[in-house]
Amino acid sequence: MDDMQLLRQLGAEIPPATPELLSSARNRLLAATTPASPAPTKIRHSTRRRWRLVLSGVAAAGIAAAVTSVLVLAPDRFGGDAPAAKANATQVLRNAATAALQVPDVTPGPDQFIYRRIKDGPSTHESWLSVDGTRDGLVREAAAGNRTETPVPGCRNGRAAAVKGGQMVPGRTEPCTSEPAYRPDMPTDATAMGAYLAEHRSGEPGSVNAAGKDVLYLAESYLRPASRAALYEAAAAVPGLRAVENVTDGAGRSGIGIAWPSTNGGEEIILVFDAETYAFLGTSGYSAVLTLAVVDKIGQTG
Amino acid sequence: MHRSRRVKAVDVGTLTDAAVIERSLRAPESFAVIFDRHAPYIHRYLARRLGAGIADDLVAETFLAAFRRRGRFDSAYPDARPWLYGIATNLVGQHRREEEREYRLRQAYIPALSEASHADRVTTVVTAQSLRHMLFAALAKLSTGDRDVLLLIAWEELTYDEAASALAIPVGTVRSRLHRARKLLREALGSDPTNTIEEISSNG
Repeated sequence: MDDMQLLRQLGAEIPPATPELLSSARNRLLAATTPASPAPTKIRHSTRRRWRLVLSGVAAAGIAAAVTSVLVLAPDRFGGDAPAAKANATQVLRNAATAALQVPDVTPGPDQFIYRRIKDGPSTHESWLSVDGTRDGLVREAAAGNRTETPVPGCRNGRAAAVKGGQMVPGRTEPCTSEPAYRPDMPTDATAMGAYLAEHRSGEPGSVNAAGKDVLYLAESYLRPASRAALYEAAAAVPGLRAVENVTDGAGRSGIGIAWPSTNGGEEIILVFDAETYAFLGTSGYSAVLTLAVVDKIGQTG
Repeated sequence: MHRSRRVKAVDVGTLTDAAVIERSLRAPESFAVIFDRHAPYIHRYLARRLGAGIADDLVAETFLAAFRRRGRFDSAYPDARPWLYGIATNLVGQHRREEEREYRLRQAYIPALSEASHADRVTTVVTAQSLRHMLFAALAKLSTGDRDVLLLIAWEELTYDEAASALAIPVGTVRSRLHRARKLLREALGSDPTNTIEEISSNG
């Protein structure tokens, strides 16, 4: 018998908790999951502080100056040969911002849908989600040969159709919060984008890694060119990022990675950009945004 | 601003933890499913390290923290338990004195919680007073980081990868911490623990 077995025996002296022992904890959790809970306020406070911490390495004036210069000037070697040779995280993100501004500006209409095809680990999701959140959308998921389709009921006047067993139940509704797939009021400059991220996201204070996930979330969403540029500019202002050459996204496409280190030794998150076009591709070895487009109806793919 | 886009509208009971958590972003009350699946084990972990009294309170704190941070859960992991262990371990770290006290208490006695079904697994070896004493004393002496890894693996049966993800450390660090912890444990038990154990066992 070794030390581990001895330890396990000591552990086995304590059995798992019974439902009675857990009931008061369960009630506390249920109380917190009701909308009246003060928890969201706490999250917003901590995130705001975190983004301040993340951005604290850069003077506010520095951010503003950087934005102006990039919005006015083209990057040094944008699209040039072997730009990855001396890749620098800030420059890659600024190039990505400039590249974003060259994409045609399409303003989604309220009755349209955001179509997205995304590879997420082993599965591929396609989604058609209502631009203003009022129309019924659809998520199609394919994983290991299985394909599932799930309706996403539109939220109209605070009610949405109930869904059961992957189908909308006729005549039955439940309360909902509107979830527009596109937000027309997204910030269009880096400073405002930094404030927006601080306002809306959660995560550990000062965690660059968590900030990277926030940026990822927005990068995977439909953004108009100015907002996408602002997002990458806000990212460029985060200190401690590292460029990683020759990484591949979840679909095997190679590009330049931007590594967001974990402060506590955890796994870093790497956002991958095309080395030539500086378009956002996905995350290293895991996910890939394959299509992101504004379409008129469900089933349309671009 | 969260990932409710990929919400699946199916029977919650059949969903992976990752899917339930994503769903809970839109329907917060479904997070109770995560509690029901894992709370008995998270409670036991807290009870093992801090005693049953504190565990009752900290199991609630663990799930409240998890609920608040659910937007940050990495849906690449279908199972939420390592993540919950990570949150619980952080709370344990804020109660070091209680943890030491618990190990001192358990040096001397087997907790009353011990049930008949567990009795056969608790052999005379570990009930041997001197061995209990050495093991719990050694646990109390370990550094927090080493103890976290050792107990997540020995008591909670996490894999190295799960322990790494729970503690947000590289798997190489898990290995080196486990190695160091076990070395100290073996030293505390004597240069050849097998002999010591057999001796105590046959005498006791």
